[in-house]
Amino acid sequence: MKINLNVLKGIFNNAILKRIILSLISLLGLSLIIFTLARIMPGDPARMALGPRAPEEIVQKYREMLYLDKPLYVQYYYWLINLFQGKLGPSLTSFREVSVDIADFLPATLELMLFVAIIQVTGTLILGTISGCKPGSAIDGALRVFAYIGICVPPFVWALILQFVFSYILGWFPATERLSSYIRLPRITGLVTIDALITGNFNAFVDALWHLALPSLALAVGAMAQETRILRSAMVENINKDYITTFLSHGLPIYRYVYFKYALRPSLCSTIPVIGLDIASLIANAFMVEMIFNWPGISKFGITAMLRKDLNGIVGIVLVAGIIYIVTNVIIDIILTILDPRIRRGGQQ
Amino acid sequence: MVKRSVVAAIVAVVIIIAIVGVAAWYLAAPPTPTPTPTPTATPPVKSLIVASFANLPYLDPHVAHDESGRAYIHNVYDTLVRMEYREGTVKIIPWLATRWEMVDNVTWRFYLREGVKFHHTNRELTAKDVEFSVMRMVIMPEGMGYLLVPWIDLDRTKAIDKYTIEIGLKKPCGVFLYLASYIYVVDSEEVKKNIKTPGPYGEWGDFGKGWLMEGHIDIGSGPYMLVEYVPGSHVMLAKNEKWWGDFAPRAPDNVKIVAIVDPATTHTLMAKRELDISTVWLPPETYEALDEIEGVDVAKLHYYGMYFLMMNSRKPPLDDIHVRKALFYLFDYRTFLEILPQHKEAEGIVPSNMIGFIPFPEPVEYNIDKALEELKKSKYWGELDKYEIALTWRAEVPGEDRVGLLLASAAEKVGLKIKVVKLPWLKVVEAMTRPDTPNHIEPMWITADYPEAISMVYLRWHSASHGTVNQNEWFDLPELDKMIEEVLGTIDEKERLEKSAELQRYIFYLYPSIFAGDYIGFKAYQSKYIDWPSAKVGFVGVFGWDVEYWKMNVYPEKKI
Repeated sequence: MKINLNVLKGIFNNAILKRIILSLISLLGLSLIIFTLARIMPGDPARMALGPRAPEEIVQKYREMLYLDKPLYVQYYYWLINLFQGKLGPSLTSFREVSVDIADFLPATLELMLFVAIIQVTGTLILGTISGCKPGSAIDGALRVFAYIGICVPPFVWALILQFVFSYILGWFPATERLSSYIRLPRITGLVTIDALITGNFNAFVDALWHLALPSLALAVGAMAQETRILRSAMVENINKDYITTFLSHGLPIYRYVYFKYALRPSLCSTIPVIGLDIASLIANAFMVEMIFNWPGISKFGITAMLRKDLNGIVGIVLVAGIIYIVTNVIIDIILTILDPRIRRGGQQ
Repeated sequence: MVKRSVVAAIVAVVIIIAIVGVAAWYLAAPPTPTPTPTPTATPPVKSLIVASFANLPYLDPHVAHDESGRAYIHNVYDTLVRMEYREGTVKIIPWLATRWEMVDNVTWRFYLREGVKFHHTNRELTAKDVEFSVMRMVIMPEGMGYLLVPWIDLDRTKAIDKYTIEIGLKKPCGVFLYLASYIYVVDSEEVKKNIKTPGPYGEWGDFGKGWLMEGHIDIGSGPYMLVEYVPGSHVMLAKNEKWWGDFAPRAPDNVKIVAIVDPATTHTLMAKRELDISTVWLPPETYEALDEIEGVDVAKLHYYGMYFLMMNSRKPPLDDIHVRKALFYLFDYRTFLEILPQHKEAEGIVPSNMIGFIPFPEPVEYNIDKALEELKKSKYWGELDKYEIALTWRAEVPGEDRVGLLLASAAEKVGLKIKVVKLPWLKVVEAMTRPDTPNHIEPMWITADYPEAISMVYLRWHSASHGTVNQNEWFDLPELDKMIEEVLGTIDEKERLEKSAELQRYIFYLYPSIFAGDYIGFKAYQSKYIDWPSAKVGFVGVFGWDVEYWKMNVYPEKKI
């Protein structure tokens, strides 16, 4: 128990808390930058929102309501005031509160990210370790080819290929959406797999997994291929170190202790940050895959907001992306602190 | 100990995740190519799945203005009267109003159908709801309300009794019945209950728009009702069995509107019979591919739309009518149809299917010699090389660059320099708000709102359209506005159409635009099991009105 507390103390005494505070300041800076950028982009947001045929006086009223007729710093002031009241302002795309839109769209992307993470982490660990333990072998060569293909082909192409093969030709998986039309599921968390489990609807759970398979795989393949290579390189480097040779010379079991315990663990330190950032980047980068699979996620909403110059929507989505990056970074730091005693001890050897 | 347990825990979690993932994947994969509903599920008897471009419709009938929005409100909300294609033309037919009369030149009286019920409250629709709906459309003219604003006198618009509504106009309007077909009637009490203040509409706050756009329910009385709205994914409608009108014998029980953009996804879904009607916005080659799928046909729908290359009359050298006329002759109309095949050759300054359309008063053709002849008459002749004509290519429109280059290459032959400029749509919209900022030539598809030619003429050339994407000519001609208003204000149809014909001739001789072609929208659909009246006649007119679900027949048993 005492050791547990010390571990926790070690974690939180180091830079993580400071990191969180700094992150909040970064978020404020991010909001200012994106707020400004969104407003200097070409296009009249009020006109875009109300349509090309709305009379000018109504459009002008709308501009006034959104403070678009005021200087930028005044607009930002009002936006901050609203933010502290938990409001991100009205969306010019949906005419609802942006926070309502985010609450509607974010769970779909989070669920996708979760399953991408599962595939990515599992795949990377298995393939990277196999490849790293047997460098130069046939399986290493095969995985190298897989990795190169995976890295070169962008996710939306994977999406089209997977949809074509597994949905159109083989018919094993659905081509679009999150649930089959005949399934009705009450919205509790917005994550359909979780909602299905909460309501005890196993059919819906399986159906949701079935729908998640192709988009998750499309998004995971490229990142998994890259991370497999990183883990493999780190494994090869660590396996050739003196301490591993020492363990081997003492006759310890190669795979159980030497490779998995003493080579894999330090190798993960270089792989985990990449995995984490790859997963976090999905919040903004998944839009093509969401379009192809008609996945009602926040990336898709973000693109619509961009195209229609939905100022509040753009700022809201970028803030959410920023928060997800920050949370991911903190999680990465915590995992690294657990894995690497040097970080826990404040950099001491 | 701790370190070992942490590692063990991580490994265990990873293993569990892997096992669950693999098991779920295995369990999830169905044994047969086609997904089979579970025994507990009750699949719909007759369903229809329709694609909507990029975004789902705006759910407020007084906000919706794009194609998907118009299709939605057309099926969910009833209007005062309707436009219907009959015997080769479009006629006004009774809808909520069973009959109507013109009390005087500026007053219309409509007698409402009794017993019409709103979907969710089951309350009877009355003249008070019509009065409120007209007022809402005029005060917040964001959707089609802009059509009513110049005409409606709210002080004289009132419910006479439960089933009679009188609509007062500011001035006589010959096309008012067409405009009345855009009065979508909402449940006024539901709106009033859900108004949020403050809002852009003064005492009316947000006029209930925020609540309506959240998509909990609809407040209409039309043939279909909203049952589910999943933002970014789909809108589900169900047949309103209590509707007062007649459904086709095999009208769909439910209709799902899905937001599908990607051509490959559209192809996959149509091949799997998981999509019944495509959008109109796919690339031409996709329609060719869809047409090859067994049981899928491509409907060619003639809208009241046209592709114009709008010339800015305030920018030299286009301020010279001879230069504009020369450009008329420099456009290769036949090659254009090969570049953008969703068109037919233009025959007049408005689409040829419009009421009151007249053919071009003189031939419009690709003729380099005639172009040169016109240029020689221009005040800029001899110094044309000093002027570069900028022509927009909207980055989002595939093929539009080739349209620009087509004109540019012909212009080069007579010494005119045309530069094709790629611009994002947002930039184009912003530039067109002022006369000096748009490019010399702005290509644009414009669709009219009602069948008479004056609808297109008003949108395109009345000064009220200055600053919108509907016009780039920026004519400063008060007499043109006067002529347009005179046509609109003429009550007698014959007289109105005569004046309209004269007006079209007048506009033609201003050489305002290159009339590239009438817009023919393509939509792929499952002809094997869907009987779609609009596809049969190939005539739609107004955008979004091609999908009148209650008139369609669906035969699920014929699905391949």
